Amino acid sequence: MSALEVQGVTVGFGGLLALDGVDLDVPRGTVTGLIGPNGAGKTTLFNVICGLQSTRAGRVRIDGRDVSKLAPHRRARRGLARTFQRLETFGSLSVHDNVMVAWELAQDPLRIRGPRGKQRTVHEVLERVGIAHIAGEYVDALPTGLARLVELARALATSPTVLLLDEPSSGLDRPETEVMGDLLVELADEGLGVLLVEHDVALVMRTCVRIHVLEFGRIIAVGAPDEIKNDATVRVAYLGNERV
Amino acid sequence: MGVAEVRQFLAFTIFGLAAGGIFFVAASGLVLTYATTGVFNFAHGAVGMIAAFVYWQLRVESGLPTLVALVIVVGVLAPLAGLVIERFLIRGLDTAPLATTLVVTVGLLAGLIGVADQVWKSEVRVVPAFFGRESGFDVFGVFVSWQRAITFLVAIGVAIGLRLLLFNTRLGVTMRATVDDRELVSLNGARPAWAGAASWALGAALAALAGILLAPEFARLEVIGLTLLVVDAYAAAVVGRLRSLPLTFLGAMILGLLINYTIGYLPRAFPNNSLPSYLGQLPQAIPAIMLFVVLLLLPQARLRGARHTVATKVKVASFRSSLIGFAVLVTAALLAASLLSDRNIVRIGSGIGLALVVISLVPLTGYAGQVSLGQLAFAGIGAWAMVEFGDTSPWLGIGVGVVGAASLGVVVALPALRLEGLYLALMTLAFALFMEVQVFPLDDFFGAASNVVPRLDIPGLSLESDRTYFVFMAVVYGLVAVAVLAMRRGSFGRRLVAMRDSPAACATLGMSTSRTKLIVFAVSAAIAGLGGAIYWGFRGSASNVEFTMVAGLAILLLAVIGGVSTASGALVGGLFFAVITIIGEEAEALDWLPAIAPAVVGISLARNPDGAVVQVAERVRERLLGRWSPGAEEAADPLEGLDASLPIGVDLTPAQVRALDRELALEEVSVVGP
Repeated sequence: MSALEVQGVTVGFGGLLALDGVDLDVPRGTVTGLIGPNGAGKTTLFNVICGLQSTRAGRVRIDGRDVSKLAPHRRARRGLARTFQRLETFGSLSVHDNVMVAWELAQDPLRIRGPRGKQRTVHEVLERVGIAHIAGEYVDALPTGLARLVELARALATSPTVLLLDEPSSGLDRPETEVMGDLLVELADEGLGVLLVEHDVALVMRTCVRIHVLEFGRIIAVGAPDEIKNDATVRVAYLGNERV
Repeated sequence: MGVAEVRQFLAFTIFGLAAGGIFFVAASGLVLTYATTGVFNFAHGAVGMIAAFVYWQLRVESGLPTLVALVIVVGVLAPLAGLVIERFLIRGLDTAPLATTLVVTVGLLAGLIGVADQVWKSEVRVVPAFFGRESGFDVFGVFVSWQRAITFLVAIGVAIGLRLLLFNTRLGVTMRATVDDRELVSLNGARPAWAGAASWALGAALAALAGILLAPEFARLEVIGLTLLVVDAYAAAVVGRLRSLPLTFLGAMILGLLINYTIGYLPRAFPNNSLPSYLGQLPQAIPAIMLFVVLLLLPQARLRGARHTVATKVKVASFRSSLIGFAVLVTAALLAASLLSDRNIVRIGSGIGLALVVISLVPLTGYAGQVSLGQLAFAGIGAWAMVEFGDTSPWLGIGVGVVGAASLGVVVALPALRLEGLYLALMTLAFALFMEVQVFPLDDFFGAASNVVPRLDIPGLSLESDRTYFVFMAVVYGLVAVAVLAMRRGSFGRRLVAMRDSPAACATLGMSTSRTKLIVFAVSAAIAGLGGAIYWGFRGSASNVEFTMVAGLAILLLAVIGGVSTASGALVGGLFFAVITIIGEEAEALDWLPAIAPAVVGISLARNPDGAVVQVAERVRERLLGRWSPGAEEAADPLEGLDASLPIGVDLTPAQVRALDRELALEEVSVVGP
């Protein structure tokens, strides 16, 4: 079953169509890739999915339920979480408190839990993403790569069913990117549907089961990594003549 | 409908269109500067007010010909003033947090009013109408003065002129482009700073023109009346969502007509053709009502992303240190109560009382980044509840004051919550004006006279003497501060700060930002209501003239002076006001100080969100602990003292490494939300 389905999404800015009838689905338990050149509309699509961008047409479904009319925070409560390409961390809070805010928001307000239970769960998320050692630091003072991990931890703290990641590896070095890749595969194995926008083609090829290619607001190809690698249209549009 | 009625209708319509013309001239300047520089000028009306006085000075006092005086004020002095304001106050604010930009122009507004009050002390001044009040012409038997005709024609002229400027000149195109993307404009070889300066010069000229057109409508020139033009102007501009000039024109005309039809027709609905007292000031309140309605109708705004600017890094006090602070405060208050003279007990006590109102802005502005200009009106609700119910039981009075202020806060904030923070600030300003002209003067509220405000009584403790009440106020302030800090450390406080840092991220994590804003606004209003109930108990009496919109601006400025993100800052702000009041009273030559100092100090501190308390505390800590203090290391710029050519092998502290990392990843840091 699809964790996330996007159907016929069209977004216009004045006379320009930023997205033109985009279809896409993210099955549970997989990492699905979304690649395309700069300005193809990847971030706009993310904004549409989480409700920050209004559309001219199209539907978004989470776990089969239509959320197209819902406000962003209601979609989040249905199990959607994301990170941002342009960082949207809470700069004047500590790493721990960034994740804590997210965790608290995801809790059922009627269920009472002691403070100790809280700390442990937040701590688990920090450990998992590998930033427990900087829990006390202000996020404003972190380098970009670590701040991205804070966003990832924050998203995970809401226990999502669909996770949208907007270039999570930028700012990370090679070994860190490897670890990130492993984490994404692990999350998918636990049943999450992950939609990954990424410029690091190697990371996409390694983690994704299926890849969507977006160009000028249209999906021009869908397929397994090998198919995409050898797709002539994609090579021209996106990968250029570079060997992958 | 007889001929007489048609004529009357025509007359009200002509009056309305002329008034609308003035509103449009004022509003167009507001829209122009806001759209080009992203800074909303609360002092827009005040600039027009000053211009009207200067025009009077030249035209009436010095006897210059009308045209010459007009050219000097509108063509030379006003644009110059606009340039100076832009250069020294506004430039660089486009990426600053909303609260900062608001404080700067609100400070300017308060400062200009203070200056005008000092320079043009009360005396009857009349600005003559163009060609005299009596000259004009008839339209279908309705007399139209030249003044009104000219006003309307000027409005049309301004509309056409701006259209030509924005679409047919290079400067205009740069201005419009700057609205969309400042950086892109500079990459394309134009100069956004120049467009910003031009927009402020032109905006000031339009404000001046509007002020001068409006001036003859007053029987005598008055500072506040002219300054309030800004409220009419933004009620009109909000129709065009502060961007569209044609819609602003429409809004201005609707507002002008609404006001004049209300004046003309509303009395007929009542016996003797006269308005009952509770509606007597309704025409003045129409801009506020129109704003409320228009905000309700505006579509939801897109959620803003993070603004990567200097965020406050105030360490949140632990429960232990807030208790220590509480103990210190109460001890100091006890000492002061035994040392100060009767007179100074009253003066310093007023500072503490005021601080109780100021601290209401700490959760709202300090934590959540939202701005309210209506806190004094909420305090007025508290004071009124004490007057009304305090005699039955002072506790009932306080309860009604707190609950009443909070409920009213919900109603006021509701239409603005879906929109950007600026609209909430505008709404609160309109609310303050509404309360001032329409509610507080009613007989059911303060009426025209002074009212006795009873004091709280605690069983076994008499608060009758000013000295005891002085200490009591300090205790209440301490308790509120401890509570506010506890809130900040808790889940709700974290949410507020998160929402200030990135509303978009909060929404995608499941937070309803509207609800969160609503709750914090209600909490803030409740604190202000409590402060009002207790502070006016100290003063002993309350009257409607104490709760004006303009007086309320000082609350925000004092909050910023002390530091709006610290619980102790409000006290510093309140005491600052007490001290300058003492100086103003003691030294006659400095009697202008209380009117001007909050504005000047507020403006100069606006760019530093931490305010005076934190700055002083940092200095002290650096002195005492030197380089071993981790706090001092964080506060200083970690890159300071490092040159671009680092010698290889130099040892960097972790903070320096992080800061260098950020400097190098430039594209990630300099991002400004849409």
